[in-house]
Amino acid sequence: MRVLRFLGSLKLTFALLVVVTGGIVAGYVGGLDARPLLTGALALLVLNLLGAITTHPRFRRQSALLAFHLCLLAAMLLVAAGDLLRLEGRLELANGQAFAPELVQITHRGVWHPEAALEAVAFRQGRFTVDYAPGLVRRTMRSWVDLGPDGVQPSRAVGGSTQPLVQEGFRFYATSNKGLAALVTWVADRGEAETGTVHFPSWPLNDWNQVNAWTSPDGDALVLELTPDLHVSAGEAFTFDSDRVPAVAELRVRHAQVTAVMLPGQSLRLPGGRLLFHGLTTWMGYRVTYDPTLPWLLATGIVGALALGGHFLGSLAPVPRSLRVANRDPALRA
Amino acid sequence: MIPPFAPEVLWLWGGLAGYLLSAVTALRIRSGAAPRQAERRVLAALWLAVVLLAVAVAQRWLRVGYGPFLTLFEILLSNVFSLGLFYAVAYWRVPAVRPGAVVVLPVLIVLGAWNVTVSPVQSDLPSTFDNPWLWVHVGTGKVFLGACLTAAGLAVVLLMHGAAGSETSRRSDLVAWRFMALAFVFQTLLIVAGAAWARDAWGRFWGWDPLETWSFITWLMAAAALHARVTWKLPPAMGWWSILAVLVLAILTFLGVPFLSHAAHKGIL
Repeated sequence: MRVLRFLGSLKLTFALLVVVTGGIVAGYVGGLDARPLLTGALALLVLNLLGAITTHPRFRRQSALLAFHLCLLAAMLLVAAGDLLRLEGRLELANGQAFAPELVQITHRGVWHPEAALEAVAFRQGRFTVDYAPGLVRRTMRSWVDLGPDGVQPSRAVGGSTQPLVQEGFRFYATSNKGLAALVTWVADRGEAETGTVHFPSWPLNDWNQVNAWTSPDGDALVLELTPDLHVSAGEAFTFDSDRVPAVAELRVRHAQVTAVMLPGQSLRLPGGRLLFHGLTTWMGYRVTYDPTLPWLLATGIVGALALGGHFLGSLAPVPRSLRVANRDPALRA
Repeated sequence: MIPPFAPEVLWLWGGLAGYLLSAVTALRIRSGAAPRQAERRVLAALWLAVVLLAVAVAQRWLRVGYGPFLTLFEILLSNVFSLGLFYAVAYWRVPAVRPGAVVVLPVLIVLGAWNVTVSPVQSDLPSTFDNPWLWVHVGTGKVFLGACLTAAGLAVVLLMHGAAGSETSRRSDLVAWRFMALAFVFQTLLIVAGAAWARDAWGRFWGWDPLETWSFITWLMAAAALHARVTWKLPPAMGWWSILAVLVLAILTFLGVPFLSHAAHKGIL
């Protein structure tokens, strides 16, 4: 019981709040790895709260205050669960390309994240438009995806983006990372042909550097440089519309010491096979996130704040009449 | 350097004059040079200032086509207006906060004076700001800062007065902590709404960026102050210092970070 009383002590709460604050400041300002300290302090705060609920009947009677603290507890547990379930990654899709789980470059995968979950996602990249204000300031961005044979659902994405496509709990945010791609077919000497796209750096940000290295399926290391028939004046507003990108472009292919220039429809003979250039297309970059705890976390935060408001309203209101009368102490008059 | 002219600056000057008039009257009451009935003049000048500043905000909004969210000038202008509005309502409805006017109004004047020295250049509203959670986030933030400033105004007067223990001080202390509690509730909502906005704007609900980090530290400090008052029955003066500390931290967080970075969530503090 003594241990429980100690664990439930409000003095311990205060001390732990100071430790958490100090840990954050040390991590942020001092650059120290404060994660062990913060994890320990937060775990102790959970025990502290459970101890306080157990040993303080008065605390249990203050239902709104108790609800706020239970919401804090739930929020901490949800954040921890979210970290274990979370998946984050990046994805690039060419115009018309179907989503496939292996296209996602995963940057974080929680240990509890269901491995096969991404396989249930199905959509195909459609048109996108990005509005630019003068000075190449990005404004509204829209990306449409084809969800099935007949259905086309606009997945409107703004900036970073604010309206994602949501499928199977995964949120796909269109990003500012998008650009031009060369649609090519590789015909190997053995006879197999593979068609795909080579994505060039984000456009128009890197319009001066549309170069990418590419290795053919047969191991030929190439450097591709794209010269599109697209001209942007930084001083004017314009819209980057994937449907209005001219298919005609010049593709320079460097292999060993030889450089060849290709136009759409032309092919190039290389040691392992033949490269066919079909023309110019576009690609869109997405940020992919998965965290099923977030709606619960939001609800917990709102309920907790409202409960706290209810507690203060209940415990402090009504305002005594003496407080509503102007102060009569000469020293405090104003 | 004289900043370039913008029409809303004239209204800002008008609002500043209103705050000055209100502050001078409040100081005269405190020094005994004006009667208590002059509180009406304090309130009238305060409302006048708020109305003029509302015109400044509206004119700016109509002229540039977006709300006062981005530049140093806009964030200062919106805070000079919203803090004044909150305090005018508090001064009107809760007379016990009136002693704090001699602190709150000079703070508003300093912010306003800073505002007129800043260039009123406009910016481009990032597309990430096109989100309904932004309004909840900003709105709750204004109430938080207003309540915190009101509490701190009383706390400073109580510290200057140094008469802990008198009935008047006890009442003022209670009112100061009530506003602190209100500030804490809205600060909690501010963080929740900010996280919801961040998830849609940047694809994550929390990123430990400068504003988020310092906002959380401020929340922890406010929580610690409220717990300390309940736990240890703090000596009143220590409690008033803690209220003041939370306000200073809040100002550094919500006014300092965006001002130093010129863009929310990119501060250098």
